Amino acid sequence: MLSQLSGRTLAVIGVLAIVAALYIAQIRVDIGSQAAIAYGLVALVIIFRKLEDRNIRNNGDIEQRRLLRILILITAFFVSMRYFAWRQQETIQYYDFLSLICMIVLFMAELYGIIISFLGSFVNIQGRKREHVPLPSDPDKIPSVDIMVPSYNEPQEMLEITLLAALQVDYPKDKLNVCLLDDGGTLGRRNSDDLERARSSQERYDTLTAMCERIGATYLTREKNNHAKAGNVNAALEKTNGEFVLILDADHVPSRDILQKTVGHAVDDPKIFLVQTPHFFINPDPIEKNLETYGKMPGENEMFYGVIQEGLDFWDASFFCGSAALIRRTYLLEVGGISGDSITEDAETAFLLHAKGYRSAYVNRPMIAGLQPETYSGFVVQRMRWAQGMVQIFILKNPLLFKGLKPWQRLGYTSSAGFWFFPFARATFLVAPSAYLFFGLKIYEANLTEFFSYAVPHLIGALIVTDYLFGRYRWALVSELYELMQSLYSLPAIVEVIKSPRSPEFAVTPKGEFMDENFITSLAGPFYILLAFNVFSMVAGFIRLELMPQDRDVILITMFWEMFNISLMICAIGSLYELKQRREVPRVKSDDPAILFVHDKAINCRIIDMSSSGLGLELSAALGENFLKSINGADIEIQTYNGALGRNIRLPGEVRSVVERENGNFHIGLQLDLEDLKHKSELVSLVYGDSERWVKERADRMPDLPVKKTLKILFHSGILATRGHVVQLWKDFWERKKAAA
Amino acid sequence: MSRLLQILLIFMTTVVVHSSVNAASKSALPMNTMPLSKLVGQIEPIDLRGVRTIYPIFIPLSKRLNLNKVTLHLEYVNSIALVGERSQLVVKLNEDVVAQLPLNPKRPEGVADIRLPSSRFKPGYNKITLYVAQHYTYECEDPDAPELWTQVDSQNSYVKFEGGLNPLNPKLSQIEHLFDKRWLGDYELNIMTAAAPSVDHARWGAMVSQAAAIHLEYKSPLVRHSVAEFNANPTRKQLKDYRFPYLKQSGIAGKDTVLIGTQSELQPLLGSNWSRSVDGPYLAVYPQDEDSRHFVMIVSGQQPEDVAVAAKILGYLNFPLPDTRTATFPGLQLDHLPRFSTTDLATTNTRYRLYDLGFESMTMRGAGGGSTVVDISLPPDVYVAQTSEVKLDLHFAYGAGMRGDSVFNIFINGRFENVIRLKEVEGESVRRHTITIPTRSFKPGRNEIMFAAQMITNNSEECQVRNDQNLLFTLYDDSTISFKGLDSYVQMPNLRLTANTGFPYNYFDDAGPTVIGLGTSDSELLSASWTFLGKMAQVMTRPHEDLHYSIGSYRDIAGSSNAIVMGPVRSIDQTLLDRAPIQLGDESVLTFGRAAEIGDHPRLNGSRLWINADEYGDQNFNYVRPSLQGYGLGDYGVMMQFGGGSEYGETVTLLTAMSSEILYGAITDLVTPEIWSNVQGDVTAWKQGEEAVYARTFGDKYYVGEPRFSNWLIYHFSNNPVLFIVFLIFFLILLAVFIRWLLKRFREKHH
Repeated sequence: MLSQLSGRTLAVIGVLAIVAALYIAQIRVDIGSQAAIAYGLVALVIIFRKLEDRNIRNNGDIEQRRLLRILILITAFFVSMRYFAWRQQETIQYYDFLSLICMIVLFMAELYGIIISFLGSFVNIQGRKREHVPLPSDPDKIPSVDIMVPSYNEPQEMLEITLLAALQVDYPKDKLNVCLLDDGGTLGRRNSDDLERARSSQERYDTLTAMCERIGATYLTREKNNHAKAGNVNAALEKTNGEFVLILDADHVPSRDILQKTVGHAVDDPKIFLVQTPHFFINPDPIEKNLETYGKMPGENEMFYGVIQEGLDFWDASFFCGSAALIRRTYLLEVGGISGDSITEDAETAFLLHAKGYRSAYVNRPMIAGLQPETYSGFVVQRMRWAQGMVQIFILKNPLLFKGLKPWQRLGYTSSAGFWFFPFARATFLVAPSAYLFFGLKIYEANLTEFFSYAVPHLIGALIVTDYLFGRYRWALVSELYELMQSLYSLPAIVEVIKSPRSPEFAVTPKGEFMDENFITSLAGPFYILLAFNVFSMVAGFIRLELMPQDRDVILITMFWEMFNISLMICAIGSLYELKQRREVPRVKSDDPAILFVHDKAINCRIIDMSSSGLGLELSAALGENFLKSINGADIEIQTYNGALGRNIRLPGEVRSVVERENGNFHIGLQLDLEDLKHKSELVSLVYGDSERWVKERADRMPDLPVKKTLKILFHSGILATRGHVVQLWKDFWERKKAAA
Repeated sequence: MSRLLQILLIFMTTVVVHSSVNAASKSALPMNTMPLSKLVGQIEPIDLRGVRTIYPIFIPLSKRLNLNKVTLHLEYVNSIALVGERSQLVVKLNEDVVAQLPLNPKRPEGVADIRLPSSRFKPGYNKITLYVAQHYTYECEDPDAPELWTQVDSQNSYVKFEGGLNPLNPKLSQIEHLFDKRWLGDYELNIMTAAAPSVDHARWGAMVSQAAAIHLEYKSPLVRHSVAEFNANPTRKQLKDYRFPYLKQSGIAGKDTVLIGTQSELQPLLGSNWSRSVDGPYLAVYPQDEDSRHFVMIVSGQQPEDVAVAAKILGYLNFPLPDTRTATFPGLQLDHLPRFSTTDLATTNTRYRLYDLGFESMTMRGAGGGSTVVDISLPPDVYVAQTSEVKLDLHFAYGAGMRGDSVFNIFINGRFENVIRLKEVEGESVRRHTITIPTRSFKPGRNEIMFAAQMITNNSEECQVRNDQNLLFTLYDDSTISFKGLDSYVQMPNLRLTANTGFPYNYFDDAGPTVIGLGTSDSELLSASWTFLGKMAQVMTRPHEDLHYSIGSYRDIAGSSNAIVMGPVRSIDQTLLDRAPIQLGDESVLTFGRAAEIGDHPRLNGSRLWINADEYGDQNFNYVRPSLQGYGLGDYGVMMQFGGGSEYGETVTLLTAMSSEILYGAITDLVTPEIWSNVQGDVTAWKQGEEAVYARTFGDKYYVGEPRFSNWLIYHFSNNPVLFIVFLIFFLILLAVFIRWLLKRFREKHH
């Protein structure tokens, strides 16, 4: 019967259901009953989760699983709705003007949180997992593809690896064109009045032209550096003619199967303008690096690429992330190429094409290996750009009103863009407890019973849902930490956008930075002030507790909240202590069998790590320590199976180190001789060519640990890093004192 | 000679009989000894603390009483830390000092009998003040030092009254002095009919009983029915001197009597002269011919409806009765009367000025400050959500130079609710200070809002000259109180609610009449019903307006909105008994088994006991119907409440005992505060002469009222969270199924 209803009727039913839910949510029963209801519903959420787990374990009915997923989300959201209805009806009262302002600001921050939570639940209610769609069997129907690697200032070595990998992509050679789009060697830069710039640009131009010629790629540049990366790509579009364009950042090395696994989707559905794939990184971001959680904890971006993009794809709202994406040229040209009013032109371009009725697809398989900014300052530059760009889209394009989008796409884009207002909420949550503890302002009118009957179940429900949706992809409180790390600098940047939406300019994220010693980032100052403020507020809380025992409940709740803030601040302070980088080139874990040819012997070994310049081998201790030490400095050859190429390869090199490992075996460091382009290509394809390697590593980085354990790891890492930070501060202080003396 | 002796003997006999009657009447002062605990309404000792404390005790005195001698017997204990020469207990009567007692630390236990001059007692409320001056040193001292105390034993201290009743010269306008709320002790009222009572007589008597109760305010009249006797052979003297010589005086002597009946019914008793004066609703009051200290009141009329109007007039406190002994009200009909009734129930979304509630602007002065009380009544079936709040917008001013911890407290029904700190040293006048109080702090029925200022002078150090003339607080009568969210919904049966407010009787004016069903027509049962209805009128603060009696038959009960059924067990309709929460057989007894007390402290005015509390938990009461069959009810009275269904009306309250006599005795006990305040549940049982009350809920619940939908949901979801959770599960599953279907449709269409 339902299936015969028109969309309009269904919309009316949907609206009625929402109105009913809102009405029921605001029924204010007695406080004891509320507690029973709230905790009862939380218990239900847990039961639904257990049922879903059992369904998954038993490979049960998919429709039942979907129903349970919806129940988990709407039940928890209902608990939050009841909390928010109470919050709105009961907790805002006038005491004095400043208190009222604080109350409203905190309320707005929570309102923002609950809206984002709702949008998040909507987006992720049912992720879309796409089946593999092969290329057409008829070679004539296989479309031509231009692989474009835009570059501005990246080193030649990095570009060469990316281009070599792109040239080895498994695709008919007559349909593939690999282009380096060099903005560092534009005519304008080469003829710059700044002679040093002109010289270096000319040198870069010559070097990269020669490199492209040598490896078989097309070197493209343009006259002027207009519109940064987007302008670069658009200029290249005029000089190329592939039906599709695969855009790769300079540090995003593709696997061989990237086109095999994406082009099929675009051919299958002619309305598709974009096939986006995840960004997979082989180095830690600065927070992971400084807290030393890389490899132990899922990367920060995994939540977006592992869950959210799939959710957006369900609603046909997954968007272009600037790289690792296949785009249909004709549609792209319809909107004037990659362009827009914001500095996140990639997302904006997708937004415009969605509004034109075209579709996107997301293939959740990592098929590029990229680099993240190494330093906190680089991280801040990147995140400020994202925040500013998405806020620009929210303001200038307003997904809720922009013509052409479907309602679900509007919600998807509102969720994506609206998320970036988080610095306001995060900053509010950071200072709100101090407003009460330190300044005595009323921020939240409630007693302990109400708090435990409304707020605590809401918080528990929200934690359960976050863990349910993203638990494997992002541990508890990691979001809060990353938001905190970004908020202090993103907040003024967003304010700037709100004041002048068109003012921000594109800033290239610095990557490949090298640090040969530990240091404290120059951006740490505001964090010290904030931590001190929170600690003083905590002290004020103890004093208040002594002086105002009648307010004990409220003081204790606020102090608990302040304690939470301080714990986060400690982790943040720890991650501001920049640890030196041990390797110039990131290494990739491996466990591939190989044969080492040395001193006319063929020795079985395992490759345990690899990079674009060498390999790390593990050799058995049974070979004898003397023998193993004797091969140090010896010329060798290493043979292994290259999964990407589907054949064995043999690479020459030299043993650079022999180190005994904890398990008694020996680690052999090999420096490979890559003068021969063939060897270099084979090594690139060995390291980067097989996307299955990234799939496995991605899974390894997401251990299924209980929340308690993940919190322990996070805070333990934070405390250790903060200790290092304090020691460094002390050292710097004494050094400055010595220098002054 | 013998003839002379015979006449002399007859004369002497007459004189002796007469004087014995008078002597009996003279000694009938309603209560001659009253413990202080009853006068002050507390059983705990009276604590007198600090350097200077005043404790007032109010003694009501009816104008009808003539006091010869009043003695105050005091038993007290004082602190042994007092300085004997400076410490004393002063007793004042209406502000005149009548005694000074030293507070001797060496003999801390004191007993005193103080003769209170009876001439200084005035009709109305007389104030006995206990005033202590207590010191622990000759030097400067802390006025609040803990060793400054004296404690008066409120239960063993008493006031003894001796005297009699004054002769009456009653007029209708003096009705509040005839049914005088300041009457000491029990007030007995005799309601007399000319013949065996009919349902009309029963109704008129109920109206008169309620009228008396309303005038008596908190004192329940003990009403008796009797049939007037015709004096067939009046003496010559009676014919000459008596106003009503054909009314036998022995039936009315020694008690206030109200004679009810139509003109034609009463004519044989009261004579044709009287009969001619009746030309509509008729009221008259006279001193009794043989006992002028008591009155006989006549409530009559040409037609039965006239009698009803006359009886009803009596119940209106503000009806302008004339300053005469007789009055007729020709043409006055029942529908003219409601304008004299007071409807003062608070209604929702209404703002009341304190002035509208009878409060006039007042100033509280001095260190003690003082307090004032405003009464407001909420509907008895009121329901409010927990979040609902009453808003008080107060207009007040206070003096300068107070210490910062001076406060203005607000109490609701004795419970502290909110406060205003009087913090401005320069004083302040505040036009509108808003305070919110949870509406649930108010109870159904009458509520007392007490405003109390506690002001402290800035000079509170020892040996400082204290100025308390600046300690002033004025509360203006244009302050307002606003009610919102009041709704009408209540779970029944609820005998406590009935006892506190009279609900559901006499509440829904637009519903059918309340029917009083009596199992038999005997005088005891009629008396019991009138006494009970008098009490009900007092808790309802007005007489029941639409009463119908049904005697011996229950046919008339059908169609009534609510019913009160009274009678011996055997006279009660079996189908009605079947609906009761517990079954009463032919031979019944209240077998409460192992009873357990509630709470840690048994209350003096009646311990409340659950029936088989440990055997039949509340959760099982639907499945366990304790049988009371097999034994007699003994001296117990039982009050039960249950839904009557279509046969007997929405709510039936059943009062029963083994016989009418026992039931009357039980009802006279029931209306005492000790028993009445412990009525609750749907079954309450009590034994004559004992203060123990057994009460519990056994039967099915039902609900009365038509609340807004939102409040209906809030009520049921609040009282039954499991129901809410079940509802939510159902709703969420439905929603989830709908969303899943939508998603499936979306997938099929767009993927």
